[in-house]
Formats: sequence, C-alpha cells, structure tokens
Amino acid sequence: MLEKVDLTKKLSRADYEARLPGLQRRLRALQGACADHKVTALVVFEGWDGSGTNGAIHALTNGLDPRRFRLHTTQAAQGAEEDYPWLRRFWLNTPAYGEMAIFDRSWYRRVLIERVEGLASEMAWRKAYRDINEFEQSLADDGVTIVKFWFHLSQGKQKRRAKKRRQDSAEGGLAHPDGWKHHKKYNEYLVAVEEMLERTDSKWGRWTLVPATSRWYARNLVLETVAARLEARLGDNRPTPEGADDSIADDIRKAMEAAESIL
Amino acid sequence: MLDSVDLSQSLDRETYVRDVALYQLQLQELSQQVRAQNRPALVVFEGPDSISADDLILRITENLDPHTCIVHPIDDPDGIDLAHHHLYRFWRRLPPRGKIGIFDGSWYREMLVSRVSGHLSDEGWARALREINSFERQVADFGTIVVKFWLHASLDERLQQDEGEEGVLYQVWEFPSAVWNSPERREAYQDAVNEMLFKTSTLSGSWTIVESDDGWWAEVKTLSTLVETLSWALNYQPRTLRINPVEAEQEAPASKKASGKKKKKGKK
Repeated sequence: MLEKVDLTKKLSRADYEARLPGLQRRLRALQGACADHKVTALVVFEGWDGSGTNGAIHALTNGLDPRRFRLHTTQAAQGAEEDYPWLRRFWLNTPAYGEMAIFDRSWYRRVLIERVEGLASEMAWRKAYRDINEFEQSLADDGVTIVKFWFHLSQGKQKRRAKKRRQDSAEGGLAHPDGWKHHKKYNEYLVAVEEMLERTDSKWGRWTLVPATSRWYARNLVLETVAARLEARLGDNRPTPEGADDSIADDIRKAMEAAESIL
Repeated sequence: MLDSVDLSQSLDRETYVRDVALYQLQLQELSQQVRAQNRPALVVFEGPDSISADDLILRITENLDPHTCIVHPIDDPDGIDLAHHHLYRFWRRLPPRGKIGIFDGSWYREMLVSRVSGHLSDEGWARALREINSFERQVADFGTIVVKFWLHASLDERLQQDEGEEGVLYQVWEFPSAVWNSPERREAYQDAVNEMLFKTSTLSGSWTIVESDDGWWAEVKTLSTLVETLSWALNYQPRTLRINPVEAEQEAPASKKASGKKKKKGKK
C-alpha cells in the first residue's frame, strides 16, 4: 500500500504560505458551523518519527477556536490508566458533540510501537485491530467524522531528518528520544504499518496517506482534507467560501483524491 | 425466555436468614480475593422500573468492606454524558482492577425504553446490541468478571408494588398506564426483552434471571449467583462454603480467643 504513495510530491514554501491564511479562515468558519450543527470530528495523526506531524497539527489548530477543540498527546499508559481496559483512556477523550478532538498519536500505538518494541503481547496487539474497528464504528455511527492521517517518509529521508535533528540541539530537544532507535527498525515498523492500514481502513474510518517529503505539501494536504471532510458532513449547512483561489484549490483536491484513492 | 420462568418460588424466614448470613460471609471473603487478585468485577441489575433492585444491592453491600465496591445509580444521562456516545458514561464508570462495580440500571436501559416506545428502528436496535456486545467483550477480555441480573416479576406482583403510588396503575419502565395497557405494547416489550436477553447472553457475560415475586427468594438468588460466579472466576473456594452456619457460630468464639492470645503476645 505504502509503495503507491508518491513521495516526490512537493509544494513550495511560498505557495504554502500564500494559501495558509485562506485555509485557516475556512477551517475557522467550518468549526463555527460544526458547533452550531453538532458536527463532531476526530482527527488522528500517525506517522514516522520526524515526518512532521507536529508542524501539521500546529498549522491545523493555529486558526481554530481553542474552546472547541482538544489536542490529546498519547504516550504509554501509566498509573491508573493501566487499571482499566486499554481503550478506556481514549473513550474518555472522545470529542463532545460539535467539537473536534485531535490525537497526536493514538490508539494505533498498540499495533505500531507497542507491537514492534514488544511492549504489548502478540495476543494483545492482534486483538487490538478488532477493538479499534469496533471503537471507531461506534463513534462513526454516533455521527463522529473520523479523519486519520499517516505521514509517510522514505527510509532515506527519515535518516537524513533524524541526523539533522541530532545535530540541531534545539530540535533535538523536541524530537522523540527514541527516534534514532526506531529508525534502525524501519523495516519492522513498515510491516506493522502496512498491516495496520490494511486492517483498520474502513468505510467509517478511512486512512489518508500523506506524502511527507515536503512538509509544506503535507501540511496543506492535512488542512485541505479536514476542511473537505467537514464540508462534506455539513452539506448544505457549510459556510459560504470567501475569496478562495479556485484553480489552486482544484489542483489540491485532485492531489488529495489521488492520495486517498491509493487505499 | 421469560415465559418459562417459574415465578412461584419463595423462601421461608428461617432459610432466608440462614442463607443470607452464609452468602454474605462468603462474599466478604471473595471481595478480598477480588482485591488480592487485582481483578475487576462488574455487577449489573436491570429490569422494569417497577421492580426495585435496592434490597438486592443492599444485601450485597451491607456487610462488604466499602473499599471493595462502588455502586452507580443509573438515571437519565446529564452534563458531559449527554454530549457523548451513549456508552461513554459507562466507560467512564468502569470498575478499576481490584474493585466490584455495581450498576443499578445500565447500558441496556436506554435502548429498551426507546425500542418499546417505538423510537428505535431495527437498524438502531441491531447497532445498540452490537455495540453493547463489543463493550462487554472488551471489558471481559481485560479480565473483568461480568455478572448480569435481569429482574423479572409477574404483572400482578408489579401491580401490587405500584399500588402504593397514587394514580399509578402499571408503571413498567416509564410508560403511562394507557400505553402499557395496550396488548401490542406489552407484546413489543416482551419481544424486545426476550431478544435482548438472548442476543446479549455471550461468553463475556450471560444473564441470570431473578424471579422477583418473592423478595427473599430474589435476594438469596442474587447472593448465591454472585458467590458462585466470583468463586469460579477467581478459582477460589471461600472457606465458609464448607461450614454450615451452626458450626460457624460454634467456631466463632474459638477464633476470638485465638486473636486475643495474639494480642497479648504482641503486648509482651
């Protein structure tokens, strides 16, 4: 599946910056309409270490009304969280009606890092596919729009980014401390990622594959995708667009469809 | 399913007192095992509004260490629960490892009420059943011991229980007597309950039907079922299971003496 992602996709920084204000205005207007019409959204960010999910999340949330979205960062379960069935901590963070929940890493941890690093037993991660699908189906049937991103990078590009991050102490502080360790297991992770995409891509929870070689392209794609999904859900209730550059938007939409149709 | 339930069963006072004492002692031991083995347990009481689970729950909790159990009364959802999926509030209230969570009313309530009053389509009904089974499966997979009680009583009995309230003839679930008096409605109710009991009796949690015409019988049946299920799931035989209550009484002073000796030794 991942081999079909076109990693050469690029967008220049100047183009991105020209589009960003319009996109963010569009999202802000959508967020207001979602609150009015109780349209609920759940956005999941997963991807290789160093693939730029943080930047994309920032670009997404930057223009949003902070009262109506929640950002949840997922780490290993700890303390009281371990006293309950594993999905409970994610259930508690599901979005309230009309709001948006953004997950920086998510329940997919279990079938990725916990699987590859041996933190979850084989039985636990195998069972997790079913738990996850039923969890997402329950939410989707309840009206939640689920958007899932996988940020894809080639092994070579990931290596270059990891090296650069190690040299750059300012970024190094932010980077995942195990990033380099994980990079060494690129191929093991690849197997886990492929299986995850295959088993958890459902009609209620489609994966959007994001070619993350160009961070500008990736961010733009994320914002466009979220906006398009919300507009589709709002239907006639969607806010009227204001002065958008249609020709570029069309190109982007085509690119987005190409990325989605791979699955 | 409910048609075949024998509602005529009852207990005399002597048996009732003996059994309650015995099972409560065993339950004390088993609740300590729940803590020791770090297993969660989930006990559900469900049934028409006209049959109260108050006494059944009281018999369970009255002699238990309050650290070992949490009781959740389930009414209409409010606040943050209203703004989420209908199972959200039950995920929130799940018992942690080492505790017994008791639900007076449950995730079955809303779906049965809306089904019988005709607000739930076939599709919605199927979805609710599927989501509940998935929820219970995940809870059981985690190691939770799930015990579900369905309270059932004859209509005459329900009528009697309700007569105390002025102007209420039948108050089954939340339906006004006019609705309840229509035979189709009653049939819809029977069908919904039967289907629900059948489709949600799974490996993860099966239903025990409690014949509630006789209150004493219902209390003892609840206690004994709970003791048996916990004992089996925890693989632990409570010591008192092998002693009959008369012997237990004779043994009690002896154990007091023993503990007294220990105290004296401690002082020295």
